[in-house]
Amino acid sequence: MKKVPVQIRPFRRTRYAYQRLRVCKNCHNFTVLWEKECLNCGRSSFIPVDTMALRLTKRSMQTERLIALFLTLAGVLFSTTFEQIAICLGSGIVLTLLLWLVQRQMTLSEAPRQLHKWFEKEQQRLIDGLRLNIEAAIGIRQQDERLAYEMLREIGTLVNSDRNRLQQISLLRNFVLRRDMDLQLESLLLFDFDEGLAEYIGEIARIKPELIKERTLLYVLDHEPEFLSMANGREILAAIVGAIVRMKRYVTLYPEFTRRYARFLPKDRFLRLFRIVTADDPHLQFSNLATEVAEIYNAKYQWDPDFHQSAQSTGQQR
Amino acid sequence: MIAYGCIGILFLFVLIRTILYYSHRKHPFPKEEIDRQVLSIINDRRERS
Repeated sequence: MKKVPVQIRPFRRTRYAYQRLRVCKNCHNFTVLWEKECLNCGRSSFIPVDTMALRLTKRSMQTERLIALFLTLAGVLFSTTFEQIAICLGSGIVLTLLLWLVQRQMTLSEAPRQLHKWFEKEQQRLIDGLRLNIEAAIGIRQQDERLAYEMLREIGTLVNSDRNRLQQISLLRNFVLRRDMDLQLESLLLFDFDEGLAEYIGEIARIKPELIKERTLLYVLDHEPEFLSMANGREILAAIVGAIVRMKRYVTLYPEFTRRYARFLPKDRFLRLFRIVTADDPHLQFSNLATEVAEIYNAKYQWDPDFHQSAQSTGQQR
Repeated sequence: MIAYGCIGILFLFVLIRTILYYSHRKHPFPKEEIDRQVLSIINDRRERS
């Protein structure tokens, strides 16, 4: 299969997932994508949901001020003397102004509460909006795979679905992946084993090892036999071990897994592992991993000058 | 008397709203809760439908 070189746009990160949503001012259709025109009504009037929350808060506060003015007016209408009219009008205006002054200070703290109530009301529109987004992403896949991937990646921030993840993985496998790309791994992990995902993990382990973290390791450990049943499964697992030796913590946490593939590590990765194991760590120094590392060292790297410095401390005693 | 009644209701209305606003500011609504709500709407209800 021929891979295509692509330029994937960087992933925009937000503090909260819901902040990725935008809503059409006209028809209240939701979108997580970046299109200008609403797929539902065709007008270009999308605003972020946080802005919508402020609008809703201001509108609700405006209604309260109208109620206050209405009560003032009622007081004036029911007044029988000029004195009563003056008292009602004066106190009504003062109280409404007071309410307005308090509201002005509270707009920001009220917005999340309004947003919560509004989402409760707009549940079906939210689901329909995301459904339109998914249909748009699937529809464009034939013409533009890169754009389809970017759309699915964006949808995946809110939609927790293995189908979406599998589509992203299958698209990623068609691209030439590079280190400078804004790639993701943990958000693509599935519950079941998938060969495409296994290949992708192997590729990530080689080009961007810092993305191999705890959750990925747990996935690999859960499905290790399935990895080994693949034609290049052992190379993938060795690449993963090569990626985790960058952090001592992972080696300490998973010494048996590291031991099983230490023999297949390239020299630079093995040197890193050798340094971790020969450091003063009682957890590793007398483990099976230390024995395996010593054996590999004696068999392959005993005369290698790069290992010489570290070897003096512990290599000779084994 | 009805006029004073209206102003009395207005006074109570402004008082209650002011107390509520200050109480909301003291205990702000967590944005994490909105996140949970949105994710649960999208993922739980979408799966059911």
